[in-house]
Amino acid sequence: MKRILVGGLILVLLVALAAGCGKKDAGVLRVGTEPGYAPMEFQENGKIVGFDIDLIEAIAKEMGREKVEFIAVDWDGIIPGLLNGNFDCIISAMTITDERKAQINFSDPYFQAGLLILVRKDNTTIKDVEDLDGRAVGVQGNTTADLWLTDNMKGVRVVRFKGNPEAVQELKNGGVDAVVADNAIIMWESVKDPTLKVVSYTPFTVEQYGIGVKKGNDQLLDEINAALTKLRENGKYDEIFKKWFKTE
Amino acid sequence: MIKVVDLHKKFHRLHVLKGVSTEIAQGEVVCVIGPSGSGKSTFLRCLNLLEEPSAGQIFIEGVEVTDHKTIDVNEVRAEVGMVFQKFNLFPHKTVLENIKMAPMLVRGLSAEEAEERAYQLLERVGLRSKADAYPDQLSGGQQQRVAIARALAMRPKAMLFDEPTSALDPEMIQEVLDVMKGLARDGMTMVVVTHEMGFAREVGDRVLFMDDGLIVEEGPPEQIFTNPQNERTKAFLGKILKL
Amino acid sequence: MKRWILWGLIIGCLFLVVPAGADGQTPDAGGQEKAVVTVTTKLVPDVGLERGGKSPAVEIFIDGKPTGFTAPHTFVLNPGQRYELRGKARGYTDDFREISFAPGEHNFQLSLRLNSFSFILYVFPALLWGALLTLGLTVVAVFNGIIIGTLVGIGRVIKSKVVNLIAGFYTDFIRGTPLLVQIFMFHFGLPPLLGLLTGTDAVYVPAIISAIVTLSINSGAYVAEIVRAGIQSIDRGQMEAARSLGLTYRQALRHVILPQAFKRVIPPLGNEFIAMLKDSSLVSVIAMEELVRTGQLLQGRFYRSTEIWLAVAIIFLCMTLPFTRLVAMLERRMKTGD
Repeated sequence: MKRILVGGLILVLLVALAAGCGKKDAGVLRVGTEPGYAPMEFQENGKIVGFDIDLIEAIAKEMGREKVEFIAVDWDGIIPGLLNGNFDCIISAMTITDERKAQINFSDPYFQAGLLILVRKDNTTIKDVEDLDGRAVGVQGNTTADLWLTDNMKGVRVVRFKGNPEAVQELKNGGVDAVVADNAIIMWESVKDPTLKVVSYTPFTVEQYGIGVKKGNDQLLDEINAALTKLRENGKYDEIFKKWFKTE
Repeated sequence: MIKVVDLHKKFHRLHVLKGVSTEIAQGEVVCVIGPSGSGKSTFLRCLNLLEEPSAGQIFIEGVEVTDHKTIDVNEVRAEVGMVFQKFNLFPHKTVLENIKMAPMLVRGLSAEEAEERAYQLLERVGLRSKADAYPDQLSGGQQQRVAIARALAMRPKAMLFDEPTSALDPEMIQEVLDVMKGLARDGMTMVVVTHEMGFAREVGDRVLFMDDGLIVEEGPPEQIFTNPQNERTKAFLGKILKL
Repeated sequence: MKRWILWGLIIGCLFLVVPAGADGQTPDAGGQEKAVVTVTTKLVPDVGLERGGKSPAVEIFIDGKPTGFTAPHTFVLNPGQRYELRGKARGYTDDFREISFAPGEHNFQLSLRLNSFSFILYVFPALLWGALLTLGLTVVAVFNGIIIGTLVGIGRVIKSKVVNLIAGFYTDFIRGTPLLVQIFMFHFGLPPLLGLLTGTDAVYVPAIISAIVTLSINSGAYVAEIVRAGIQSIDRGQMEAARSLGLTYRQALRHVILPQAFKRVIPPLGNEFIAMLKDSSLVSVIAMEELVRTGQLLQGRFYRSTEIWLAVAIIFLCMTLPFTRLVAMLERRMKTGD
């Protein structure tokens, strides 16, 4: 009886392994994303949704892929994950930077972004970036917010969280004086939570998001770029944009 | 000196003592014998309240020690010394420290007083030279003698022995029995649970035969050993003495 | 004994055989004309890595003249000229590079890369700061844990139903929930609750306090179980002998049971310390940059996972190996004292 059980268990494991190692389905686009960055990508009712998600699904459709499979990963592990082949591309509100370009290739820019500052409603001392000097500022580690503050604002105590939601929670609890992140995200949080406000609606950096693809995978990159161009031309891009950013 | 009236002890459903009554006089040496499981150890442990009696009364020098409202069990135990089958010396302390500890903690003796008393007692059990040894450096017989000295250091009114030689190698039994004989000679009130019939015969003033939670028969050693009245006593002694 | 020497050798060798980094790409040689650029490089002081270490960025000189750029950088090279490309900074994989390209404008991305050994040395100070935090948190947490755990462990064995119950609840709760959940509950969940109770805004608890408190409370529960098991492993006869001499329960516990139990709990306490050393990485969720989190941040910044995690593993080993040795030594010494 025991032997049968063990045998059965091994069989199940083997089948699972075989399924895991199974040939990559050409019809599936595997996308890595860090779903803690509303409204670009976040979890809602157990599903990953957001602007990026709608966009990559439209792109995949344009490319003739049957299915998009989303793989949720930590921000810190997203580029290593791509390099290791855990997924085919990254869409995760990732700014195109020189340092990242040294590791992976980016598609044409698909979104204009920049950094904004989020504070508690009762805060009157922080009016622009310079006022952050000498304060504790919550960011998500290794985002452009982290890198920009670390490189350009020596007087800021940068508190690096694993995810942006934790940074915002810390702001609400009073652990940091401000949170810096991309404009869409900051505005989303300020609308969602009336105890928070945006310092200024003009971003203090200019950044562009790109879809990340492993170096050497030029065929996929070209396909994505072609699809992106097509979506801009046929109005699909604007449709998705309006769905998520009505006010702009 | 010790008076026991209708003592009962139950462990959950198990009825171990079913009404034991006896009286032990000052300076008397009482040996308790009986088959294993007869309740003799439990009886002994009830006498210094290591086991709490389920019913019945125990009087020590006229004071009812089973009365929880008026009695501090720690005080009772301090007056009744106990020696265990497995010695139960404190392995992390030297022989001297083993003996000194209780008089200092319980009686409030100074370190010097306690030490003096300890050396006297070690002299008495013949182990003065082992004062600084740790228990596991001693033989079983030596450990048991230290255990006796430790109990005596409290200057108890009575001593209880729970099969003090059962865990010893045969060649060490005598040295322990000799110490106990000395105590008896000096007039210590003693209750000894034992399988050493020779000791019971030689030193005991009275023998209690227990079986199935009751004292079945009691009397002077000569009478119990040579002319037992009860069938169960006869059967037990028959088995024991044949060996 | 030999195992320790072997470990030293293995760690030493790991440093020497770390994979040599691959280089940045070179544009395809069209063939006709050759351009050679001389690039000398020098280390630029800190560009953002906090807490020690020189920056891996290098300033780029062409033909001995400063360009004002730091690598990595994208150049537009002019055809028809001879360039020589040379990286001089020590520890970089580039020390000479020749590139060729067809006439016309070409984008060339120059990205100098530290070799693995230099990279590990470069990130080591940052990692050591992280390790210091890890070690500090662990030492404080286990120290507090021993105090809490001893009290609670005793609370589980004494004859008081109420104390038993409370101590039992505590250990059940802590051991039955993940440390991660406890950290979240304390750091993010508690301030709004405190605010509600005091009728003010959220009462903020600094992350370091949250980290120390949660780790201490967590450690306390595990130490309590160790202490309880230690006490219960002492032969019943010891308590009986002490009580038969008239010692109170407290005296017996303090002078007879606990000193003996203490020796028995040293090895499991050593295990608890090592477990805490590893588990303390969970405080990274409240932005404590301990060793593992520092590794993640460096990985996210430099994308050199192999070297970073190797270095992190080595640092952990350097903390745990001497400690296990210390515990083994202590254990041996205690044994002879019996």
